[in-house]
Amino acid sequence: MAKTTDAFALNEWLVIGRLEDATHDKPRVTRLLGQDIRAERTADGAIGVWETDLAGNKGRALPVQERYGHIFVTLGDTPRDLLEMPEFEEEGRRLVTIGYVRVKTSPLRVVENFLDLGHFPYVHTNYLGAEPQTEVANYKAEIREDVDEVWATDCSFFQQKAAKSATDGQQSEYEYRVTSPFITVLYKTCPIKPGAWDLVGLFVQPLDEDLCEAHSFVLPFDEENTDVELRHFQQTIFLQDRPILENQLPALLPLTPGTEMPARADATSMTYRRWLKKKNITFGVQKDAASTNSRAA
Amino acid sequence: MEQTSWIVAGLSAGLFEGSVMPVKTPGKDLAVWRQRSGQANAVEDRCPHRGMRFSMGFVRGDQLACRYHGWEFDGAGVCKNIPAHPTLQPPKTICAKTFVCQEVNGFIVVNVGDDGAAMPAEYSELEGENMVPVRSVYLDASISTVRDWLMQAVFPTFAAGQDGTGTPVTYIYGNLNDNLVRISAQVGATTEELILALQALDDDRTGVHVQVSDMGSKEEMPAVQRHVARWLADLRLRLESNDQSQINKLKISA
Repeated sequence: MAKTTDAFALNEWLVIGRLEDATHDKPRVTRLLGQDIRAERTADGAIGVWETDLAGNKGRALPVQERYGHIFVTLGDTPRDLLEMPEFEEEGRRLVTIGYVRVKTSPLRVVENFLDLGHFPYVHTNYLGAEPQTEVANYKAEIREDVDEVWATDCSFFQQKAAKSATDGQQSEYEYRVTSPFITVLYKTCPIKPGAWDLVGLFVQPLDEDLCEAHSFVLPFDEENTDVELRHFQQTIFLQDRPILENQLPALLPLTPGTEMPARADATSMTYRRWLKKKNITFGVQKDAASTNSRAA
Repeated sequence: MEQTSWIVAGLSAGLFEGSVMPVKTPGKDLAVWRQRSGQANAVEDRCPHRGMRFSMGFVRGDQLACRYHGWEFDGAGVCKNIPAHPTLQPPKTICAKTFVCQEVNGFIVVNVGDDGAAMPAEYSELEGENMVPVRSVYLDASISTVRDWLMQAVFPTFAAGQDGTGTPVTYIYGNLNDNLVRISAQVGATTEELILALQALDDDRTGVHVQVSDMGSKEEMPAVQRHVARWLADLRLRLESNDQSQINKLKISA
C-alpha cells in the first residue's frame, strides 16, 4: 500500500527497531504506515532515517528519537509527544529489549490483545493463567483526558508463572497505560521485590494496515536471569499470541458497535476502542462493516 | 437444475465426536463440529466476541469453545459460558451465527444461505442407499471443471480389476444437481456406483466427498474403499497436472 493519509497516525512517534538494529554495515530496511524507509547509523554516530522509493533511493529525511533502547520516527510535521517513562531512571531496574515478532494483522488488534486479561488461561496456559482460575475481577478503565491516555487500574489475575523470575504462582496486580494507538506499557507485581512493579512495554510498528511488527521490552527488578532468559520468556508469550492474532476475522479492528460483543472483562478494550474512535483514526480500522468474514487485504 | 444454497461440507465419517473442522465456501468460512453426543453443527467461523476462528477452538461436551477466551456455545449458537465471569448467565444477545446442518446417509449437508430453503430432494433421496464412505479429496480446479470431467470419467471398477478378464464396462453418469454426481459402472451382472459430492471452496478449488456402493462382504469392502481412494489420488494428480494428455486418459471418449 501507499503511505497512509491518516493524519493521526502520521503524527505519532512510532518505533522502527532497536538501537542496535541499524548499524553502519547493516541498515534496517523496513516500512512504516505503508511508506518504505531505511534507517542507518551515520558517520557522526546518530541514527538517520529516510523515506525510500521503490528502487530503494533515499528521499526525505525523517525526525528521529533514540529512546528506551529503540528508534522512533514520525512521518508527520506536528507529532504528539512520545510517552515519558520516569521508571527508566529508577535505581535497580534493568532494560532488556526483546526484539520483534511480525504479525499479519492490524497493529490495533495487537495492542488490544496486550490489554486483555481474559485470554491468559487459554492462550498463555500455565504461564499467565490456567483453568479453573479464569475469573476477571472488576477493575477500572478510563480515558484520562488531562494526559490523553487510556488507563486500566485495580486489575488482578492469578498466574502460575507471572515472569521469568517467578518460582511460584502469584496473584498479580496489573495496571495498563495506553499512550498512543500503537504504544502501551503495563505495570505488574514484581515476583521477587515486595511492593515493586515490573514494566513490560509494547511498541507496535505499523507496516501496513494489516501487517505489523510488535517490538517489546521489559524493565524489571531482576538480577538473577540473563538478558537471553528474559528475552526467551517474553518471546514465548508473544509467540503464543501470534496464531490467535492472525486468525481473527476481520484482521482490521472493527469499531462499529455490534460487530463484536464484549463482556465486562473487556472494559479496557472497550475504552481503547472508544478512544480510537474519538481520534478518528482510520489506519488499521475496519472500513466496511459488511466484510467481517474475510481477511482479504 | 436450480441453484441451491445447500452444500455438502464433508463426510460424516470425517468428523469425529468432539472435533471441529474448518469448511471453506465462496465468500463464507464455516466451522463444522460434532458434539460428544453425536450431533453435527455448522457455525460461522468467527466467535462473536473478538472474531477468533471457531475452527481453531475445541469441543467440550456438547459445547464449542473459542480458543481465545474459552467462551462456550451450544449447537444453536447460544453462548452458555463466559469463563471471565463464571457466575454470570451470559446475555441471550451473545450468539454465534449458525447454519442448518443435517447428515444424510454419510454426507454432512449445510444450508449456507439465509433463505430458510428446504433441503433439495436430491439429498434426501440418497437416504436409504447402501453406501460406504471413501474419503474427501481437494482439487485445484473449479467446481464446473471438476463436474465436467467427472461426468465423463472412466472409473476402473473393482470387479474388473479383480478378475482381470477385461469384461466390458458400461458407464452411466447422473448429475443429480450442481453438487452431486453419480457414476454407475455395470460389469456383467454387477453394478458399482460412486456418489461424488462437489464442494466449491472458491473459484479455483473444489472438495470432492466420495462414497461407494456397499456391494461386497464386510471383508471385501475395505479393499473396495482403497481401490476407489487410489483412483481418486490418480484423478487428482492428472487433473492438477494441466497436461491434456494426462487429463484425456480420465475420459471415456479418450
